[in-house]
Amino acid sequence: MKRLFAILIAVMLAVPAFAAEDEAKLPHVNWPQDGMFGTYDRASLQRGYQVYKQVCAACHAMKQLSYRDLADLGYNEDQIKTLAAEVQVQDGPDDAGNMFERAGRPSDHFKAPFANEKAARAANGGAYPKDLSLMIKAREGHADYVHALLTGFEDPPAGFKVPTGMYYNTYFPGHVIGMPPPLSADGLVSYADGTVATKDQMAKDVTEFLSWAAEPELETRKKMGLQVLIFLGFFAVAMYFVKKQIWKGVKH
Amino acid sequence: MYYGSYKAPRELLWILGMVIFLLLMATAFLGYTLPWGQMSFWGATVITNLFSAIPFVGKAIVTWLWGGFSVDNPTLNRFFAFHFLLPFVICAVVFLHVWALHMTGSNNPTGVEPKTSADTVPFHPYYTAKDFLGVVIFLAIYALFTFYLPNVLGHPDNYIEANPLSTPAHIVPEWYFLPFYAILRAVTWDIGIPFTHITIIEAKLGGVIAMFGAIAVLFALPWLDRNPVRSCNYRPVYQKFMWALVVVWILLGQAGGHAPDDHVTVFGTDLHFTWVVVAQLGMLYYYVHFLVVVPWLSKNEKTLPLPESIDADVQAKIDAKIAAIKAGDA
Repeated sequence: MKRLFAILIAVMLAVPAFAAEDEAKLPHVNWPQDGMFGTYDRASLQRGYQVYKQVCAACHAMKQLSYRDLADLGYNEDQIKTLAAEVQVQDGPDDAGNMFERAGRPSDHFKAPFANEKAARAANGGAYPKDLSLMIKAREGHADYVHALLTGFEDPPAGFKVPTGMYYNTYFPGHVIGMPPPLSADGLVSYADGTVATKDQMAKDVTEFLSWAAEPELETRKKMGLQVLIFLGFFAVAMYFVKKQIWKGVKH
Repeated sequence: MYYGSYKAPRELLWILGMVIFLLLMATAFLGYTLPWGQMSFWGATVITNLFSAIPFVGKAIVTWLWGGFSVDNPTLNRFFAFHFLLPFVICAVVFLHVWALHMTGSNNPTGVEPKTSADTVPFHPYYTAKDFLGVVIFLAIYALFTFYLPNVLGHPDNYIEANPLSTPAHIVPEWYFLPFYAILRAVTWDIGIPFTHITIIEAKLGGVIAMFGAIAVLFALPWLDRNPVRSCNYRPVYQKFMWALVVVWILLGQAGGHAPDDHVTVFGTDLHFTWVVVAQLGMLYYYVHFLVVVPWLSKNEKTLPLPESIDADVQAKIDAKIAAIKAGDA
C-alpha cells in the first residue's frame, strides 16, 4: 500500500501541471548560478551591467533597482557614487515650490528612459519596452529564454510574413516581436575588462545581470538553505534513533 | 478517510476538521492575491466573480466584497486584513478540534475502538517523539523548496505587475487548488427545462455549485457511509474505490493546470480529446463515488472479519513476520 502511494506521488510530481507550449526548444546554457552551490560570476555581472547601460537602457527601465544595489556586483562606494552621478534626476519641490534637476545619488532608483508608458509607446512605434527588473522570473524558461530571445533574431522562413516595423524571432511566442535585434553586431560594447564582445558573450552577460536583478538574494538563500538542510538532516537522524529507542518496548 | 475516522462517534471531529480545511483554503487564496502580480489580480477577479453567479443578489455581493466596482486597492487592503485574521480563527477551531478529539479519542488503522490498556500508549513520549520525526522530515522538504526551488510551484506571470487591462492567457490557481478549479470549469452547459429556451441554472452557476458541492459532500460523508466497519483494511471493495478516488483527484489536478481546450498528450502523443473532458469525467466519478458508491457499499459490502482488538491485530502481524522469517531460514 505504501509503495503504491509512493508511486502515485512520483507520477504526480513527474507530470508537470502546466502545459508546455509548442514553441522552439530553448538552448540550455550552463549558468554559473545554477545548481545547489551556484553563485553569480561577478565579472560577467559587471559586463552585463555595461551591456544593459549602453544598449538595453535606451528603451527598458529597471525601476526596482537602486544604484546602491550595484554594490553586489563588486563596485565600491565611490564607484557607485560616480555611476549614480552620471544621470540627472528630477527632485523637489524646493522652497519656492519648483521641481529641479540634480545629479543622481546611490539611493536613487535606476533612471527610466521614458517618463511614462505613453511616452515609451510613442517612441517605439506603439510597442512598450517592458521593465526588466523581474524579467528573468516573469518568463517561462527564465534565463535560458531571455538568452535565447536575445540571440534568436533570424530571417523569417520562406512564406512567413513579418509586418513592417516588426522583427522575426525564433523563440518569441508567435515569432513576431516589436523589439529590433538589440545586440546587432559583435563589438557593440567595448568591455572595460577587455573580454571580446561577441553577440553571444553580450547576451550571456546581460542575462546574467538580469538574473541577479531578479534574484539578488540567490546566493544568500542557497547558503542559508545548506545550513538549514544540514541542521535538519542531523536532527532527523537523531530523532529517528530517539523514536526507535522510545518505541523499543512497544509492540508495533 | 481511508481508515474511516469520520464515522460515529467522531462526526463532530470530522466536521471541525473540514471547517479547518475550508478556512485554510480561504487563507491560502487570500495570501495568493497579496503579491498583486498578474495571477494574484486575475485569481482574485475569478474567485470573487464566482459570487456573481448567485441569482438576484450576486452582483451586489461582489461589489460589497470588492469594496468598489472592480478589483482594486480596497480589495487588496481587505484581503490583507483577512489573510492576517483567518489564521487566528483557524487556531481557535484547532482548539475545538482537539477538544472534540478528547471526547472520542483517536481512531487507528484497524478502526477498532481500544478495549484495554494493551491497545494504547501514552501520547508522551511515544507520539511526541514520532511526530517530531515527522515534523523534521516535513521541514526538510519544505526547506528544500524554499531555499532551492522557490519558483517551481509558482507561475511566471505572477512576477508581472497586476494590470486590469491585460488578461493572462491562462489564469491558474496554486497547485493545491487545481482539482477544485478543474471541477469549476467542468460544467460547460446550462441546465434548463428541456425543449424550451428557459435556463434555470447557467453554466457559470453550475460550475460554482459543483465546486462548492465537492466540498459539501465531504461534510456529509459521515452520513453517506454508515457501514459499521471503519477501516478500508477490512473493506476490500471500498478500498479499491478509495484508491480510484486518489487517482481521479490527481487527474483532476492535471486537468485544472491545463487550458480546457488543450488536447491531452501523453509522452508527445496527441490523444484527440481535450482536458475539459478529463475534468468532466473526473467530476462524474467524484460525485458517483460519494453519492452512489459510498451509500451503496455502506449497506451491501461483504466486509472482512475485524480483529478482536488492536493488540491482537499487532500480535497477529508480528507472528506472521516471525513465521515468514522462520520459513525463509528453513
